[in-house]
Amino acid sequence: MLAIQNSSGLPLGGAAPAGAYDEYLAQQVPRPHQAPLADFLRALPPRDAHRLAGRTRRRIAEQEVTFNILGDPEGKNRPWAVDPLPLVLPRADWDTLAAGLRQRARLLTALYADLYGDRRLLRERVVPAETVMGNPALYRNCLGWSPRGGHQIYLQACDVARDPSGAFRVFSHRTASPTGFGYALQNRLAISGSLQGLFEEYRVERLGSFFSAIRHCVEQLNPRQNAPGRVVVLSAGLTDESSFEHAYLTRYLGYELVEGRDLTVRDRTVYLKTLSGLQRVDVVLRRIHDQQADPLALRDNWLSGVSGLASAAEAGNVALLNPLGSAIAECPVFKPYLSAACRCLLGEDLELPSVETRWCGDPAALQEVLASLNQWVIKPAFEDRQGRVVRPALLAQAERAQWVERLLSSPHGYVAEQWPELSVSPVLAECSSELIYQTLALRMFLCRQGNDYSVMPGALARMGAAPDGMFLAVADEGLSKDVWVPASAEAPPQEDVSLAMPNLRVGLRRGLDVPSRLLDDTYWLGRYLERSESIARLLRCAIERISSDTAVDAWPLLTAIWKVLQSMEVASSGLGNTPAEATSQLLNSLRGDKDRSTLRGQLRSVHGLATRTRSRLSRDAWNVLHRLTSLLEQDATTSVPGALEQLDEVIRFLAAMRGSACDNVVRSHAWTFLDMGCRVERATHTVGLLRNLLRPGALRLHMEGLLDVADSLLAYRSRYLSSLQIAPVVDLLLTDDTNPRSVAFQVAELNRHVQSLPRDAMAVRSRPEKRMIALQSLLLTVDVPQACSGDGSNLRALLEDATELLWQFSDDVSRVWFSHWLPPRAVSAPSWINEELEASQSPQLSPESR
Amino acid sequence: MNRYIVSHLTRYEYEAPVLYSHHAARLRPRALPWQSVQWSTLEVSPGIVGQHARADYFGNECDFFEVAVEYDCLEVRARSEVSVCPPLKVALDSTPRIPWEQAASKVRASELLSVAELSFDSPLVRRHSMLRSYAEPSFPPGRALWDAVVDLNERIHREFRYDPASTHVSMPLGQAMRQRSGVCQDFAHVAIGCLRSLGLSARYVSGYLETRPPPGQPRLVGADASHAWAGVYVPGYGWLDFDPTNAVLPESRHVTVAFGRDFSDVSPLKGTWVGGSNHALTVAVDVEPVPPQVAAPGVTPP
Repeated sequence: MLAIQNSSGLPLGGAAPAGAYDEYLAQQVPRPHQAPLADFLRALPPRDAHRLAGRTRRRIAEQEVTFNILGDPEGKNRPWAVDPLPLVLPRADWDTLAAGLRQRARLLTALYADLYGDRRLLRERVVPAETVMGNPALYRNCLGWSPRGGHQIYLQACDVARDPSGAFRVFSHRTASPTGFGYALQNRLAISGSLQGLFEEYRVERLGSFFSAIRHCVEQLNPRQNAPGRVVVLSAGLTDESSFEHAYLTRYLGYELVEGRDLTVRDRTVYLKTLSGLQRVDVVLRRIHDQQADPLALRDNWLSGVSGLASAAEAGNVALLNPLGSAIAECPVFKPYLSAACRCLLGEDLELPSVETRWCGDPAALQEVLASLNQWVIKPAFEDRQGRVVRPALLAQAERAQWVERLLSSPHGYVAEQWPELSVSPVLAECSSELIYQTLALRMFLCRQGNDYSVMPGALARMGAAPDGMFLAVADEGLSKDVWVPASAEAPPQEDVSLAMPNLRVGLRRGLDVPSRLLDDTYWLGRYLERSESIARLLRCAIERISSDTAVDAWPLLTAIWKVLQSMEVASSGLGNTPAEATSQLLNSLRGDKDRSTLRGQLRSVHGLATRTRSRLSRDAWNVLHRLTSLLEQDATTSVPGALEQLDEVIRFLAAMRGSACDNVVRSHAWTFLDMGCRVERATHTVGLLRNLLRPGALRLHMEGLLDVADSLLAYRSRYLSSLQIAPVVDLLLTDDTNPRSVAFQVAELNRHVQSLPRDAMAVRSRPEKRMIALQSLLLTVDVPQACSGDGSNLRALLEDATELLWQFSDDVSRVWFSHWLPPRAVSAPSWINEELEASQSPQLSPESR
Repeated sequence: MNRYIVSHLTRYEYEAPVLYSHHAARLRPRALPWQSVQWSTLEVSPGIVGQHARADYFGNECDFFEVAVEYDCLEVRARSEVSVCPPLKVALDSTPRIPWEQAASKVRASELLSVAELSFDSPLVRRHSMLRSYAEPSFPPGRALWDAVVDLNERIHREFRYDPASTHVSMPLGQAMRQRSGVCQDFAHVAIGCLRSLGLSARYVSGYLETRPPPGQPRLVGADASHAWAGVYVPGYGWLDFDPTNAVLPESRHVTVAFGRDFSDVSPLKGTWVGGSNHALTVAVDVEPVPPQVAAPGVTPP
């Protein structure tokens, strides 16, 4: 043990498991290629090791790199975890591995082209008929035509791991829309900065060239020869496990991130829906699986895709990367036949072996598997995406018997694999400064280059995880590692590959091209931000008063505020009858269990919308938002002072957010809609406050509360000192267009925004514009003292008119600018049966569907 | 030989206008050795763009189109004239009396992918032991395939309740099996699932029934709308269709539109739309006999 400690620098918490290949030590001494890392660790004081880990974690947290495990936008994201130490692969091992991977990538492309083309593999019975013709990933609508660029799988990923002999084995392939290279890049950025010296000493191969290769692929696919192509990255949105990666890659590569409903197909051509109309799309870098891509042509039950996409691709009007149908090549069912397929299609022997795999649909293979069931791992044969893996050796007797039954009943649905013991590598344990061993699996990435593939010189190493597929792994709280490949000795010094787009058109105001969906989200982000502020102010006002000695006197105001909160759906039940009850109700509205109807719930909505619009938020704005939305996620406070402190903080961060938006966001349409959202909400809220707090018989108490909540107490006192009267209050909050909190001020701003937006050429004024003009003239011409006199009915009528116009305005905004991007719906089938396109109705006879 | 004018009207009425929609229609009867199509038309109101037609993988005529104008009401009217030959009694009688097990092993070894693929799982029909046990009484060892299928056809008709009210929404196969009820789609799926679970090849057939039977003949169930039945592959002979909803073998009163693995391959009209709201759906199917003397050959569509 002592020997290990001395040679490896930091203490090793335990030895490598016997039998596993040790990436770090051989005969208790660091392997030659690990020497620089070992030297570095030896020179690293434990305290610095601790810091290194902390710094890496912080970098990741700031970027909010997450992995959405359950596909749940409501905060079930797990932060991405990366070990501060890289995995260094020896150059020679790398070269062998990369050659084997390139061959496999060529093989899978050939397999895909064959299954959708000549079908030699079927004719010559290299693969059993059922593996193809009974394969749900074979899309019959994609048969008989060739996509632009041919049947090529441009981007691929491959999961490999070392067996005890140190040889690499392939566990799985990803050919539809491989994920992970964004995370690999993120890891590189997080690690290389903190280990600059070591990075240079190793002369680590840069990743930039790989991303240039991707970009090159994309550009070659542009169907318009003489015009710059529009490239979009098609994501399933926040519900996707790796939505962070989609956004990150999009920004890195300089394309536009869209969801299915941002696109539309017209006359077999794909368009992006933007505020300035439909913009043709030339290349779709898809980050969604085949079955999600086109509800009309591929699989019925996904409305997240784009109707008509397959048809547009068939017509050659758009190129997809990867083309539709390419998912078939990743099916585990082909693994047992890849050697034979390689000889048949490439005339070569397969260089890099897979793990031992059997397709249970082959009767002989099924016998073999059942005879030695405990040695196998059982997986679905056709769809490798759910990450469902069963290890019969670990099952209880009854469950094991069920699985035997299942294999006998539907053998064709399963493959069995033998997983060797994986290699291990040390990671820096969290909260300690010792190294511990974890198993290692590598996700490698390939991109088509000419007739071959280029391999990303690096990889995503997943520690302590299942070696096939990444999603399960992350759910197990797995760490990841950056993978370093030293440049070969004779390689010239590397140049930094610039990732800037060539021929950027200076002066291009890209704001016009923003997808409409993004603008809608931005608009609602504005509304939710403002709404959160209103709620926070109401709660603060109420809690302050209830905790003072005059709580009983303040009761009428409290009930009025509670009514406002109820109308905002924040308060559900009654306020209670005693100050104690009311206090607990108010604290509940701050962050109670019922998610939606609390301030915390509102802030979660803010977070959701901010994530969706993140590509338009500056890093600083994002940081403010991130802090803001996590304010109420920390430990619960049950005390009044604690709550007031939190509310102050929320209000402060909201102000910071607004400041950041004003200062740092380009005055594009995105900003316009953000500000419009805020202003509509503020105007509506202020009118609501006036209606609820200035009822007939309103007391001084009410007026004071109103001015406090509307943040205009100071403005009032500077004018009217301490004399509180209804008319001046109404004037200040409703009609005074010099008060940035007044309704009139919001209306003037809205009017300005509306005029700056694209409008129907035929209409002199758009409908939203007309509403705002109506409201503006109403507010300009009203005689405030007269409206406030009498029994209050005049004021009430005025406020009702204003409310009505604001509601209509908001509706109009949606209708005029957003209706065209509404998500598509399925037409129910018109026969004797009303099938909703079979949505979510997979046959229940399958054993998996329970 | 029976001649029919088939018309199939589908109307969607929306409360709020639809802005745009995409459709795929399989509404044109296909030409077959026993069925010829004199003409077929597809009219869509309002007007359409991006129309293209092609035969799908299974050889069915498929029309794709987009509706690009705002509309409250979409009407798709398919019309055709077809003639259907009387059943091939002679051929049927000469069906090789191949035992069903032997048929299954021939299917397994078949060079014909188009036959083999119909013995595998499909999106809506998966092989299962529940289906196999249901089929077994009709398939004692050594029984001739066609006899067994005829028996299964009658058992499904007898033991399943035809209940259009029970299924406004299509039912998963497992549910139909448990409830022992369904509509013709479910009857066909049950039959196909039974055959495939025994290792045989079976296909889904969509089409129409003669609406008004000749005097003295019963009106068949499912005549108001599109209908569905099944087919089995008999090695050495070819495909033979059967209609478990009516316990009949399709004669010249069944008009065939499309073949597929299951309903999902032949859905008559499907689509996605943007905008719109609640909608009401009307379907009207009419299969009207044409007296031989009126329908002169080479008649053009009205």
